[in-house]
Amino acid sequence: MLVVIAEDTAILRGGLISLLEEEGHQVAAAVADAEALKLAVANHRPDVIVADIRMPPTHTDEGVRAALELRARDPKLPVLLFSQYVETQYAGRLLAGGSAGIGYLLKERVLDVKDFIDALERVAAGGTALDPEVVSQLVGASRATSITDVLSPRECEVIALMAEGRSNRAIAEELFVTERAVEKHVANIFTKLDLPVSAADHRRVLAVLRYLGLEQGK
Amino acid sequence: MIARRALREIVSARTWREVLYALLGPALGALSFAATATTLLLTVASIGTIVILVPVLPVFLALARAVAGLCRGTANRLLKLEVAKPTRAPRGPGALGFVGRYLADPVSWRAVAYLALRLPLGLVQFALGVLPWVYALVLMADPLLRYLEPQHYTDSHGIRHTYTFQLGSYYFDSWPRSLMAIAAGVLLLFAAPWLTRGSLLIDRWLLPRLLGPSAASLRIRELEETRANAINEAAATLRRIERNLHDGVQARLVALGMQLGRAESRLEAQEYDRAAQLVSTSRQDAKEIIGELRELVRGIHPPALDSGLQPALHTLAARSPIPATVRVELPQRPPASVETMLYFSAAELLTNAGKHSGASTIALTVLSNAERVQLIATDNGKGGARLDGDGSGLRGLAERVRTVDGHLDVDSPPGGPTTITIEVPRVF
Repeated sequence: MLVVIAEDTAILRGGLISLLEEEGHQVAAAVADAEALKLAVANHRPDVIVADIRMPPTHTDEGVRAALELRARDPKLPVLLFSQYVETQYAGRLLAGGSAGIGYLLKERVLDVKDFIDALERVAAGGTALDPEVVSQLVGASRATSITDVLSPRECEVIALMAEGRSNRAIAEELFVTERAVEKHVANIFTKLDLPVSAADHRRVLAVLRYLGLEQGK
Repeated sequence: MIARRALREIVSARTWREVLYALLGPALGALSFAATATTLLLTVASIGTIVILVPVLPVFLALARAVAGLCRGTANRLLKLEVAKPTRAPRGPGALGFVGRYLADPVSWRAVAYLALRLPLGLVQFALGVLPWVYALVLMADPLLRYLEPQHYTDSHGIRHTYTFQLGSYYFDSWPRSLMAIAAGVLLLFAAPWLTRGSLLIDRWLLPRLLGPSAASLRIRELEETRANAINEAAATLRRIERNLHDGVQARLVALGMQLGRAESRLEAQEYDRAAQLVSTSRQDAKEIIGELRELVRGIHPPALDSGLQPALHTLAARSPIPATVRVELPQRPPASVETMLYFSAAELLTNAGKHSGASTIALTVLSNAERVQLIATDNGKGGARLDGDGSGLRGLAERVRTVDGHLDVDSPPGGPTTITIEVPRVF
C-alpha cells in the first residue's frame, strides 16, 4: 500500500516510517502538519493516510479538520487518525459522514504491530477501525443507551467489536466462540434493532451507527 | 532668595490650581449640603416611617456618592491627589439587595460624613484661599482706587480728605499712607500662596480617609487581583506540564513501544540481527526517557527540596548557566510552601540572568528574620533589568510573589550590577 503519514513528533514519524516499510508498505511522504498533508495527498494519491490529530499550529484538532476536508473532496479516501487521547467530539465529527474508510486509534495501538497493520489494511479497504476506547466513550456519551438495554450482554460484546470494525471471524477469535455463533448474535442484533433487510454490510453499518449514537437524522 | 521663592510660588501652576479649587469650595459645599441634608433628613424621617422611606433612602445615598465622586474628581485633578474610587459593595439578590447595597455599605456613610463637612470647609477655603488675593490686589491698587472712586470726609479742622481705605479712624488719604497700603498688599500677596495652601490642609487629610477606598477594600482588591493571577498561573503551569508530557515522555514511550513491536515482528520473521539492533536502541531510548521524566519531575517538585532550601539551591546552582554561589542563612526551616516559592524564584532568576544579563557570576543569598524571608540575587552583568521589560520574566515572577504577599525589587542600573530582592512572609 502507498501511505502518507502526518505526525508532528519526529521520533514517532520516524518510527512509523520504519514500521510500515518493514511490513512491506511504501511511505510516499511523511509530513509534520496538516497543510503539508493536504499537499502530499494531492501529489501522491495514497491508498491510506495515517495522521496525528494534534498538530501545529494550535495542537488541537488539525488532523480531524484536514481529514474532513480531504474526505469532502474525495469521500472514499481512507484515513486512519490517531492521538494520545480519545476525544468523542472528534470521533463523532469524523463518523458523522459515515464510517467507511475511517479509523480512529489511540497511539499505543501502534505498539501491537500486527493489530495496527491489520487496522490500517481494513481502513484502506474501506472498512472501519475504531479504538475500543473510542467505542466505549462514544456509547457512554450517546443518549442511545436504550440499545444496550435491549441487547443481551453477549450481544453487547459483539456489537462493541463490530463497532471497532472487526469482521465476524475476528470477533469469533476474540470471544473464543465459533463464527456460526457470532453470525447468530449479529442476526439477533439486527432483529432487535429492527433494521430492515438489505445488503448485510449496510445493516452492519446502521447497527453500529445506532449503537454509537451517530445515526443520521438523530 | 526668600523673595524669589515667594515670587515663584505666586506664579506657580500649583498655586493657581489650588486657588481655583478654593474658589470652587463654596459651590461644592452648597451642593454637598443639599445632598447631605436630604439624606440625613430622610434617615431621621425613615426611623419613624420605615416602610415608605427606606426604599427612597438608597437613591439619595447614591446621589450622595455621586456628589462625593464629583468632589473626589475635582480634588484629584486640581490638587493632584490620587484618591482611588472605592469599590462598590456587591449587590445582593432582589430589592432588599439594592437597599442593602447602599445602606450597609460604609463607603456611602463615609461619603455623607465628608459632604456634611464640605460646606464649612468650602467657606474656610474661600475665606483663606481666595480672599487674601483679592485684598492684596485691592490694597496695591489704593492710589488708583483713590483716584477712580474717591471717598471724602472733612475733619474737625475743616480740612477735606480723600481716601479709599480706613482702619478705625485712621485714613489712608495721602501718598505716604498709600505706600503703606501698597506695602501691606504686597506682603499679603506674598503670604497668599501659603494661606491658600494652609486652607486646604484639612481637606487634603480628609479626602483619602472619607472618599477613598477603605484599607479593607483595598486589601480585598489586592487579594482578588493576586488570586486571579495565582489561578491563571496554576492553569498555565498545568498546561505546560501537559504539553511537556504529551510531546515528550508520552510520545517517546509510544515510539519505544513501537520499536519493541517492530523487534517482535522481526523476530517472527527470523531477522535476528535487525531485532537485536532494535532491542538495543530501545534500551537506550528507555534510559533517555527516564532521564527526561526526572527533569520533568524536578520542574514540578524538586526532590532536593525535601532536604531543605540550602541543598536544593546548591543543586540548582550546579546546573546554572552562569557560575553561581549560594549562601543560605536560615535559623530554622521555613514552611515548605515558602521553600518551594523561593526555590522556583531562584531557578527563574538564574535562567533569566543566563539569558539576559551577560554576567559571569551570580550570587544567591537567603536571609530571614522572625517575619520575612529574603532571597537576594546579585549578578555582575550589564544591568538594565526592568520589571516592565518585555520577556524578562521578572514581571511574571513579581506577580507570583505578590500572591503570597511578598514583593520583588529590582535594582539594575545600566552597566550593572543587578540586584533582585524577593521578600516573602515566613507564613503565607
